[in-house]
Amino acid sequence: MLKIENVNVFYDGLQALYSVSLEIQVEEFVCILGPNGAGKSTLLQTIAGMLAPKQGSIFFENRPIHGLESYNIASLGLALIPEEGWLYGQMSVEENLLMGAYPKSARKNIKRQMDFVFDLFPVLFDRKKQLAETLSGGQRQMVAVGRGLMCNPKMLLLDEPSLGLAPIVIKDILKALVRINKEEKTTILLTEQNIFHALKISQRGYLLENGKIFMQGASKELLGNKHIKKNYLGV
Amino acid sequence: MKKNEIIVAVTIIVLGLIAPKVLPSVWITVLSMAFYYAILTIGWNIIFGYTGLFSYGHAAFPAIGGYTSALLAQHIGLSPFLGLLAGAFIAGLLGIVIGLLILRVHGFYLCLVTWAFAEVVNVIITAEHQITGGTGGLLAPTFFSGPNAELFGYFMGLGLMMFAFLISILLYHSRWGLNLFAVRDDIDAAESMGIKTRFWKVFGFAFGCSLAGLAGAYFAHFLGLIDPGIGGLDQMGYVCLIVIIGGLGTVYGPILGSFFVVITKELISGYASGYSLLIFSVIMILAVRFLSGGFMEIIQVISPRLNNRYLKFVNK
Amino acid sequence: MLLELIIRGITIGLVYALMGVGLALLNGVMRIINFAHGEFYMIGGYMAYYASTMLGFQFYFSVPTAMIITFILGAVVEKLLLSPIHTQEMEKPMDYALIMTFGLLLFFRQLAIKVFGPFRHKPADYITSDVYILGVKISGNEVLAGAVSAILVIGLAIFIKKTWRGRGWRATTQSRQGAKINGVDIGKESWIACGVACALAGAAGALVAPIFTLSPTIGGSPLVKSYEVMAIGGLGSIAGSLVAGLMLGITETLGAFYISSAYKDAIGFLMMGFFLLFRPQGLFGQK
Repeated sequence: MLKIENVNVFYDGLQALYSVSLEIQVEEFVCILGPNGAGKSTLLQTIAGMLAPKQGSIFFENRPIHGLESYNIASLGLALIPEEGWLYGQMSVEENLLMGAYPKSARKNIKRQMDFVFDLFPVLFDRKKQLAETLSGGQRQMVAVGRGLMCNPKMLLLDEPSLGLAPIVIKDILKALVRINKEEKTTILLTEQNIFHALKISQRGYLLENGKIFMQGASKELLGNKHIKKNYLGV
Repeated sequence: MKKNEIIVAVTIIVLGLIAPKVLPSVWITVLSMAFYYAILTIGWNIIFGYTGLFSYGHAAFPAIGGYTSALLAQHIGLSPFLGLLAGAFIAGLLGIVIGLLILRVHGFYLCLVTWAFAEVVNVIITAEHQITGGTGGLLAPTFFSGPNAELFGYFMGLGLMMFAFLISILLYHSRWGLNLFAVRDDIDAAESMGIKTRFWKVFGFAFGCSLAGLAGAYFAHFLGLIDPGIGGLDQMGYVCLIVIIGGLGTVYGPILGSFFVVITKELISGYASGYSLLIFSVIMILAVRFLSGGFMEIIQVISPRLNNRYLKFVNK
Repeated sequence: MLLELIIRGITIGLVYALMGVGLALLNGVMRIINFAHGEFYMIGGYMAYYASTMLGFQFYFSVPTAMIITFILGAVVEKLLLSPIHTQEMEKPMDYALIMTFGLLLFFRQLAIKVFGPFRHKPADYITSDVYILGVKISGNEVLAGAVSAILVIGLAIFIKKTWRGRGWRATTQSRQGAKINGVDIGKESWIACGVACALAGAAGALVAPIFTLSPTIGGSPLVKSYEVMAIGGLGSIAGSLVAGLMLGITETLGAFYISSAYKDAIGFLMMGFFLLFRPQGLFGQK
């Protein structure tokens, strides 16, 4: 589905990713773990075309996408759900969701996708006329995820969806991700600092430290891994 | 002050002293106008180039300085020399007031507020014609009288320009200058380093404005006449053009640019009268599109070696 | 008398609003200040003039002709001169655009003096008969200018609200990065939006040409007005621009009559300064 080979990325003149390679199969649920500043956001933004890799290649469905503009990547069915949300504050929830279906190819399925989003997050249905900037943090994150889903993506890139949210809200959102993966057959690549939750719901994981892939494996194995236990789970 | 800056300053003074001997007398007025623009744009360079505040109302301040001085001379018989001080003082004072007001706004809004101020000043000058003479202008006494009055006025301008130039160099190398640059480059970082950014913004703005007021007073007393055209939008255009062509934020930029623009304007006026602003606007568009570094970048494009030597020279 | 002044104020205010919404659109989509906005007004006026005198067009052809030409001109200017702002990721895009568009202002104005001549031109009246509104006699030209301006402003509002492209423009205004990942090609939308904004300015110039007559320097006043409208109405708010335009038009007309016509232009500037300093979000915007 997605294949990244030896990608080097610079951010503000500093190297943020060192020769990162990874591969994700169709319908997989993969997480990228790592501390703050390890380069997780940089990696996802590079895949989505917001940053250009200096070296290396990225293939989506066997098609090279490095060097494509972000608006082209969006129409291929690869949706980024950014950490800060990048919502349209002065637009209603409904309009925010509609913007997710902006690529021409996505405009046919609007009704179906919107129903699915409202089914996932019923609270958004009640607030669909409300301006996005008046929502709570959790609701904003739901809008961000929902907006990503509106283009009926083949793959979702989620950048720390749980950041700064209350535990109960985190649970709702992670549950929704599992449903998306199961019901919609959407491949998911998730970055998380919240390693325990992430490994619980994903199938495989990569550990990113200082811009390099430090470790990879099945989620269950990683949960039992000494390095992870010691440094990240505090056991 | 660096060695090379002294060399440049001395060269300008020597050239300035020789020029009236070798050039035809029309050039005295032309070069005096170059002095005027140089002082004016050194002021704007401090506001925009050093402090990073895009003031779009800079042309209002020579108008304020010039009218202040001319009116004082008319009503209380103040000497033009003291008028220079009065013009600079009043312009600086208004600069402080406007500077304090624009602390509330940033970027785009700052530009609009200063522009609005300049337009209001212009409307007042034009409308209050019983006091200011309206569009017809206001007579002002010249610095000197007698057959050599213009020549002395020229030297006066040279002196004032060198004064402004030296001040801008000293500022550039001083701690004060560093504070201004910090405000320009990263205001949050400057704030966290303990720099009083609000103070330095007002300081940079008012400082530049008072130089503009000085320039305006010189203009009025050199020509013996001041009219509302001095504060017009096309004057603001010349200010931008000069600093962009000379190189923004550099110490030599305003002087290089002023001489280039004023002299070129005079040279082409014989062949293509009325086309000078058209030509300059094209230069300005092309310069911004292709050469954001002004003259220095032109040198870089034409001859990288020459540029390296120039940079070495400047930084020695 | 008061009623006549108010009706005149409304007419001119609608034209101001038309100028202002174009500017607000540009500012939103491209994040720039356009100082050449008034020059497109001037060019639009001349194009309508030549279309009516040389080609013998009626206003319903000459005004659209002016709009088409200013659209193309605006799009070309964006493509050639302003696009580096988003393609080369300029460090200080605002300063760049400021100086660039200011150069364009000087350029178009000087060029117009050379091409169109420094003298005043006046196209034939679009509508020769007068119209009576509430018993007040208003020239047909003024009514036409006000009505068409209102239609265009409302048309733009509907376009922005209802179409995909319009929604994309609003999205770009509110979060450029969000718009990028949602598939908005900002480079392309920029030149289209720039063209539309310039066409609106061109329409304003074409509409008022028979009322105010044409000269190469007429772009200055509408430029100023459009900034005043934008500052008072709040960035990016079309309803705000409409109200601000009407407010400005009416206060100016009343002020010119009852206070002093010499200070007519100062009124708008003082209003703009007040709003920028003390209510920067404009009439309707939230903080």
